Amino acid sequence: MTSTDEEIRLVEDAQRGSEEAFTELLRRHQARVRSYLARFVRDRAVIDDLGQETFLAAYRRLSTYRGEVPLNLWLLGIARNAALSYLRAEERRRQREGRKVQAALAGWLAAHIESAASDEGREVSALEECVKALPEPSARLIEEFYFNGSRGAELARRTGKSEGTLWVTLLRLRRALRECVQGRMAPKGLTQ
Amino acid sequence: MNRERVRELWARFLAGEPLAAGEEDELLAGLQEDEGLRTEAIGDIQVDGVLSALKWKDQSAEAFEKSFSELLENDRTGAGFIRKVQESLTDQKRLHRRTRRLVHEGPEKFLIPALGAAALLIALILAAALAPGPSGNSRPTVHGPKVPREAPKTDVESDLAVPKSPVEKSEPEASKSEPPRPRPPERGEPEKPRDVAAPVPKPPESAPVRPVAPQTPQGPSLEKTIATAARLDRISGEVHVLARDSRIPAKAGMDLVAGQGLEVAEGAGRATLKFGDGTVVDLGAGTKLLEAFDQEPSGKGARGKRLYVEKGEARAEVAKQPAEQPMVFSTPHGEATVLGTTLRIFVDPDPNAGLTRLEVMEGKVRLRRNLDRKTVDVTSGHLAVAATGVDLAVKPLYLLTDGFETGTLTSQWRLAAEYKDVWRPVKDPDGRGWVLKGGSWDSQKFPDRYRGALMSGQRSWTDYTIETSVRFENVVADKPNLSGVLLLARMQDFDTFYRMEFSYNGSDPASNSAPSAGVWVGVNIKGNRKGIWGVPVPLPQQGRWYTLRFEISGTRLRGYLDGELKVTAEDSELKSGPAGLVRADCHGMDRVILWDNVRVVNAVGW
Repeated sequence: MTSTDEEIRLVEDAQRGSEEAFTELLRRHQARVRSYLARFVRDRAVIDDLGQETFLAAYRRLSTYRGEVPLNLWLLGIARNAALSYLRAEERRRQREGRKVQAALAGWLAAHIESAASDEGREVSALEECVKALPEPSARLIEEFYFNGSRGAELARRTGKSEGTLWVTLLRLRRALRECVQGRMAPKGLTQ
Repeated sequence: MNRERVRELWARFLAGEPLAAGEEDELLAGLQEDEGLRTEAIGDIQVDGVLSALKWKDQSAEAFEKSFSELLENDRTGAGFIRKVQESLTDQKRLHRRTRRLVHEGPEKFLIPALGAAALLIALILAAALAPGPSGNSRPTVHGPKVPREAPKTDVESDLAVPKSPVEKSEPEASKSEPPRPRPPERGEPEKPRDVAAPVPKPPESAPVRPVAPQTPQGPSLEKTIATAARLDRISGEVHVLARDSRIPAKAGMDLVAGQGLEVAEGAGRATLKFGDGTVVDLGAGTKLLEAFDQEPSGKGARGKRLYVEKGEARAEVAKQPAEQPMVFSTPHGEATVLGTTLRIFVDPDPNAGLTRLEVMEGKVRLRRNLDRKTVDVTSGHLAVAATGVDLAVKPLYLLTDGFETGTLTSQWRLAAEYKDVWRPVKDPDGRGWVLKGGSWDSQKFPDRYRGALMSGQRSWTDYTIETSVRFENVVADKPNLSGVLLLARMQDFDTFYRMEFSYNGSDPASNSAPSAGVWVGVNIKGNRKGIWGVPVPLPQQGRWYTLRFEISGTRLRGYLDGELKVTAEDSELKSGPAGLVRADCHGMDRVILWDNVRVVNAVGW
């Protein structure tokens, strides 16, 4: 049985009322859903809340899922709407609070979600590959900062940089990663 | 606009480094003006988010799964019930939707811990219990299967519309099987209850969630509920209700709808909010409350009371709250979680030196600093400050407190020997314990009047507040004389100190002057009054207790009468020193002034 076949069986079981089957689907897809939400929301508690809402909505609407699109994309579609609603609310709230940068950011991110077709599944995979492909010092810096949770000040001291330089270095690395992802996402076979 | 400069600001912003107000404006302008930079930033923030998520996505999978199981269990067991009441919750959910979280926040974070799913059920039960109207108003209920087939679409689902394809826009798909009903506003669309900031009818005292008549003729199934946060019990001065985009003059007796805020003017403004359970919150002059909720439903259930204090001062007597729904005071710097207590929270919104200071008189309050999410439990008689560069430590609230209930002058007070007899505790004239009698003061006998001060404290005391109650037992307004009290601070000795004075002058036929009274703050250096600033106030009434407060914070001196800020001054001469009390009296009249509840509050962090 292929993984796709297995997933179809799980969906069918879940549609018949098997919570175990749904839990297994959640186990398989939660990371991707949360990764998607993390693109637009930085507060981990909010990400988890929106993730939970996404799966609850999916649970309730599972009977309407006919398999026209892969399940992960169907889930990301729900997550997308959850993120969009949240960002629009945040935009208004931040405006009211006079936090102009945060308000503008929320608005721009919401507009980005509205305008962009989601290809999340591929994007996250591509990013993971791009991180692995980074040259050693850069990979170590990303690893220290994002994965090992090193604080900026501490990391700056260890690398002999000022904090300001560290932030700009990280900015450049993220730009390189973004370009790498875009390269991997580009349609293959058309340009050459 | 220098692109590299904008990139640098952006990198710092994203790293959570505090930006000065000017830098924020610079960053915003740079991103607004340059589409290329904006696109870069939007791409960058997403990469940053995904990188962060890569770290924890597997670590927390189990917790996420467990949390969802609980949510599901509640949803399943409460499904029938939930369907019945979900309609009536629609607008309440939209009003209250948990939004105190900051998206892509910079230095400040408004983080709220995830709530247990059980809270949802509690909110729903409450709403159901309070929602009138026939059950026929509810949409069809679903029982039986664990996974509802063709379950009626709930409003939660409307918000999280399930697309047919991943790129479908967020417009909810219509449920063909459902009876027609008006489409509820999208989250964020204007909601009438919030725009109509005029007072809504008063709810029963104990009912925070109050259904009101449907506002639209179609669809009997849609019933709006407006959640009242609290009632404006008392106001004075200029107070405004902050609705969505408007400011409406507030009136006593008005209900504050959930999600609305309150702005209390500087100077004489004050407001008292009263919640259904008896919790009372006093807001001082210059306070801005962005939002108030009696129950704040989140995505998964109701949270407890929540006040978002952007600046100013709130004093609260919080009735016992349910353990799972504590009352929360959110500020730009942190969050205080309360189960039942008396507290005071002060918020200075200054972007560079701003802070939130929490004082707990009774009970226990948890304070979380947004900066690093560190928490401390602040217990009765203690305080803590959430701010950049200030240690998040619990410190004693009172440096000194004396209600004179021992009937003797305790050893915490020092005084010059010759004044020993002029200060003595006496029975309260109202029969409530003991008070301190300032004694008679013969200015002929004791010309060096400040030497009569009652002093307490250390040379190391820097920023603090002296509070006391005073009562004039015999006011003589029709003769030339002066009588009053002084609170002294940062005393170097009996000649050099900061002072706050509340006193009056009787009429003087010689100069044809009428009786007058005032509150002053000032500085005495080596026996000479260096500066004094004051405002007139009504003549004190004989036999009435007044409360005085003298705050010394850095170079700022502030004098309050009955909780109202009367006068502010700046001086940098004196850095630290003990506190003192003294009477002002002239003309040798035998008048009595009583003192009670003297407290010196540790004002670290002001």
